[in-house]
Amino acid sequence: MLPTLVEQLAADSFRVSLPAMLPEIALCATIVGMLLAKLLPGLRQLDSFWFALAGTAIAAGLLLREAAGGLGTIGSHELFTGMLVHDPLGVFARGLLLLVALFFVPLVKITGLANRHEAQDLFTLVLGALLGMCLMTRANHLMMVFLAVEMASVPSYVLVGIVKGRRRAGEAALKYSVYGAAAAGVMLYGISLVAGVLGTAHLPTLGQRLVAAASLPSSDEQLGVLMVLALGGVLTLVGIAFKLSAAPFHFWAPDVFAGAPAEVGGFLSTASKAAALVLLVRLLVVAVPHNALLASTHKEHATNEYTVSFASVPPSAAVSDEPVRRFLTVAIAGVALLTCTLGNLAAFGQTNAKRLLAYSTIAHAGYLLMPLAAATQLAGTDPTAANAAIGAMLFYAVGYVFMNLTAFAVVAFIRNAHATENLADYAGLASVLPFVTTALIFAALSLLGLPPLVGFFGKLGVLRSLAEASGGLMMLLLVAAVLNTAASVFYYLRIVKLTCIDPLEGDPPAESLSLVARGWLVLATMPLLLLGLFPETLARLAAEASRGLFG
Amino acid sequence: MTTTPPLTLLPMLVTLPAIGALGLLIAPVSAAVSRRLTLGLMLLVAALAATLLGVDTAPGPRLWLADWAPSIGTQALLGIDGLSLPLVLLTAALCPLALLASEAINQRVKTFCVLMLLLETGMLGVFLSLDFVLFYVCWELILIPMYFLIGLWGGANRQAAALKFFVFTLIGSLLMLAGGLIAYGHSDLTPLSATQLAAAGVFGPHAVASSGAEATAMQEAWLATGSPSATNFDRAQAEGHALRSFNLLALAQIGSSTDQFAVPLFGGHNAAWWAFVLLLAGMAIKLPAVPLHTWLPAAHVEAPTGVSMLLAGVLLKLGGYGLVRIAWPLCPAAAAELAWLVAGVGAISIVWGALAALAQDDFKRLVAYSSVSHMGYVLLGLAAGSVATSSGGAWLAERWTLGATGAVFQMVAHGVTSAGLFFAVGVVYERFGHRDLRRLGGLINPMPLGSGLAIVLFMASLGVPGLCGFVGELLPLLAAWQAHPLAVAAAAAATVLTALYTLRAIRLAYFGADAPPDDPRALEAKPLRATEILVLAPLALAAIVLGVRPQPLLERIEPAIAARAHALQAPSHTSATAKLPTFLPLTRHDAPDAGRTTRR
Repeated sequence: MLPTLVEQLAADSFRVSLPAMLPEIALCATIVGMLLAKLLPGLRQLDSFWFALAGTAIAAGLLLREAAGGLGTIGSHELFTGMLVHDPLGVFARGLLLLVALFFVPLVKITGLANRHEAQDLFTLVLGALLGMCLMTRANHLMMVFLAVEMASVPSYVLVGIVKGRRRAGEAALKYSVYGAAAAGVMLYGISLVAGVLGTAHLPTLGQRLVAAASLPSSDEQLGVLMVLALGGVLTLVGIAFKLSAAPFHFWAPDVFAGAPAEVGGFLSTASKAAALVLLVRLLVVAVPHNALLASTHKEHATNEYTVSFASVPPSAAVSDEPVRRFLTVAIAGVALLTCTLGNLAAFGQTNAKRLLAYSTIAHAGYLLMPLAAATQLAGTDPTAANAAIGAMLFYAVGYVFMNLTAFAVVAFIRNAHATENLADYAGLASVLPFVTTALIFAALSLLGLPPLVGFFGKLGVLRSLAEASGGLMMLLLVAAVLNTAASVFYYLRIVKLTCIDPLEGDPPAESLSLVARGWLVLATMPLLLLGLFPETLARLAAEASRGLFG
Repeated sequence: MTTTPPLTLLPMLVTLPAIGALGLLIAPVSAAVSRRLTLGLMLLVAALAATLLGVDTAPGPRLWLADWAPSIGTQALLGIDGLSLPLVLLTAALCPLALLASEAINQRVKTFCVLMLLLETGMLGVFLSLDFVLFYVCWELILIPMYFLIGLWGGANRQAAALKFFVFTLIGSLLMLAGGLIAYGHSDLTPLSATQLAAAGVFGPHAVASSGAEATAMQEAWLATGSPSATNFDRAQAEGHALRSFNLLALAQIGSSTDQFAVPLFGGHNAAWWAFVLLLAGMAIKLPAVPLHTWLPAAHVEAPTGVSMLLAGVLLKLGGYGLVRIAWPLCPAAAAELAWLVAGVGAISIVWGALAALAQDDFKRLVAYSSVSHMGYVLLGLAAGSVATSSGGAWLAERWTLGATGAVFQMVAHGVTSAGLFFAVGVVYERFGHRDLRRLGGLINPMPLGSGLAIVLFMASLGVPGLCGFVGELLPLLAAWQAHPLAVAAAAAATVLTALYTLRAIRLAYFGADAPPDDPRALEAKPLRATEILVLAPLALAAIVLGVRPQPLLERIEPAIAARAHALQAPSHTSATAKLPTFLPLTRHDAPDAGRTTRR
């Protein structure tokens, strides 16, 4: 008995699971290699930057090999006895995360945040966080959800305070970790409630039992079960909302982004948010009743002995107007609306560039949540459209990565050149830092969502998914999103006006940007325009990544 | 088989200026050279646009189609018909003139040229796009160059003016986007007949004019190609789910022939109503209509002359064009329901703009307010009726054909006169360094040619018969008379105000006492330079030609509008539009073609 079990486990791990984990293994090896290299006299002089760059590049290469046949050909199967899942969405999301890393690692080298002696600390933390985020995007088990979130969070807390001796940075790191710990605790409690009531933490099984629980004949007992489940779900969502900086759990974001180095802000606001969004999708797919889930539930009824207690449910009684879906739609739509509006309104009065961008990331979290609300509503009636809504979110997330990384990088470059992060000091910079300000303008206009930049197509996709879902709530959300965009004109355009139209004050030094820095900026900015002019490739990739999620 | 070849000229027109801008940005050329290159490119575009005159737009729009981003649901669908042709020509002609008029720009000339080229791409793109997303992209593409053109080269108060322009128009375009998306979200291509789909260009540019069995054959052929859009259509039909579309022609078919947009939304109104309100609000800002017009005088006063010419000559037409192209065809019932509002806003704009112009001492501000007043006629003309729907409305459609034809004519006429007038103001400003009417006077003696041409344009703008403004004002008034007598009466009465402020401006600027010989003014009032004549004379000439012989232009516009308005009906030769020539004694003798209401 035991030997067979071990054999099966070994076969599962070595033949199925590990080959699908190669990028993660590469990241692990890089972290260990980077730390060990400091012990070896010959390698001690070698800059950790090269380790990190090579490690990320190898990981990205391995991921490309995974996706070699196209995203559409990747099947969905479970890894490590169901702890993780390997599917197109996971491959796409990890590709996005590795892309962020491929931009971030050179950036910190260029801006000097990773100086020779402390570089290995920084890169270890970054790659560690990245590893956690990769696991977040393919979690298939509530235990993995929690572990991955923590694995991504703990290095982030330290990253925020990576510059030693700065009080603001220390304060930001402390704030982030205290908030983060509280959010993690709440999330863990929610997870324990859900897993306890349903008797499993394996997400697909959990989804099936949720359907069964929701369609129990109404009684006091069922009401109690549902209330506990709702509470557990909301508490779990709190943890994710924290990672997303979604209102009302966004209060940490401005302080943390203002205190952290701009580069770290760029990393956290893009990679961390993308991972949290994909994790939210994973949870939504099991929480929202949809046809694929219902079909598998009815099969399950016959075999699973636990669900016998629910077996009085006739198979087709399912769920004409599921309370779960309505509850989640309203909850996500409400959070999206609140996040977007709060972020945009609070950004108005900001005088610090990083704080302004922090509120802008909050607002964007709102836009990014909107298609999830649409998908939740569509899941029951039109699964294809629901998948397309997730695809729209993925498209937006990719565009958002480029624009936000560029914006934060420019703040770092300007800090290096002029030792200021005050917006007022950006006046007239276009005449002394033409290269950097051009990139900033591209990023700002793309964040605003002006065509033909990628930000516009991201927003268009979001609005399209809302229009597709139709109905009063979605139209309300659509109009709110449009009005929010209109409100955001003021602060994004202020950046453009300050840098290009306002006169220069004083006599600051001219631009002295290295060739590598220029190259980095070009590589980060060009996608804003190119993905805007030719959105098809990315849109198709995103659609393939989200195909089949809701059946 | 009626096949029409695709027009590859259309994408060239749109992309040429943008490619030129990119090339100019990279190429290390001096200011003078970049100015000459830009002018050359703009002239080339104008020449290419002129060849469009040879395209027969009577059988329906001529299209060019490419798959752009099928995953997002949008295609690169460009088309030219009698509605867009005059405005494309206007744009292509005004751009080089505006560049010639920008001689005074001597700082950052290369950037200026790049921005002007981008602006041209955006403007041509709006008039040629028949896909809502592409339309919106081009519409917004105008914003950034215009913002910088005003903000960098404008007058003393340029920052506030540029910001105001940007904020107002962006809010307007976002409202428009919301309106378009509401229509998109309720649309479904699959129930349309093959003929309708063919007419909307869904099967490609070749099949536009096919109908009946021929269209069905085209559909089969199209489905067999397996292109992304064909596959989507096939799948939607097989699985029975809706296939949304951004294709403006298809959306217009849906709006007039189905009740897909009649789904209740909020407040007891249906989706079409809300889409119309949002589209109308967005485009009224761009038009601009009172009370959403306040960005316009500010932007005009601060903008440099050449930019002002394009702003008044082309940008103000975008709103009106959008209304004719999108708002009315998509939501005919809502348009008919809200016609009173549109007519009221139009009449108020006419009166308010005229009153405001009367109170101005700044020459340029006066012309700016006169633009607000003149754009009111566009709204009034459109409010005359609506597009026919499956539930009838032939009468409305006939009125609308006349009114919208008048509105489009008025747009072209105003494009010519206002561009000329802003240039005339620029000429005065360049010589005196101010635009205060009270301190001008007697210009006709030192500058006879310049003043004479300017006065011709003023008269055209005033609506003197025989010049282009007359036709453009008369047609909307005639069309709207029965539906909105009060609004038309107000508008007609306001022509007195128009005469007052125009004649006052002419008197103060060009007539009056000559400057005494020792006054520096007399020295400054130099006659027009050759380039200035080159800008002003064609515009004055166009104002006269369009006034004396409006028929060729009307004959281009009217069938396109009629085809839109009567999309559901057989061609009717006894429609109200047959009355067109009798209203216009000047053109009675070329009547045989004028009664045509639909494609030949």
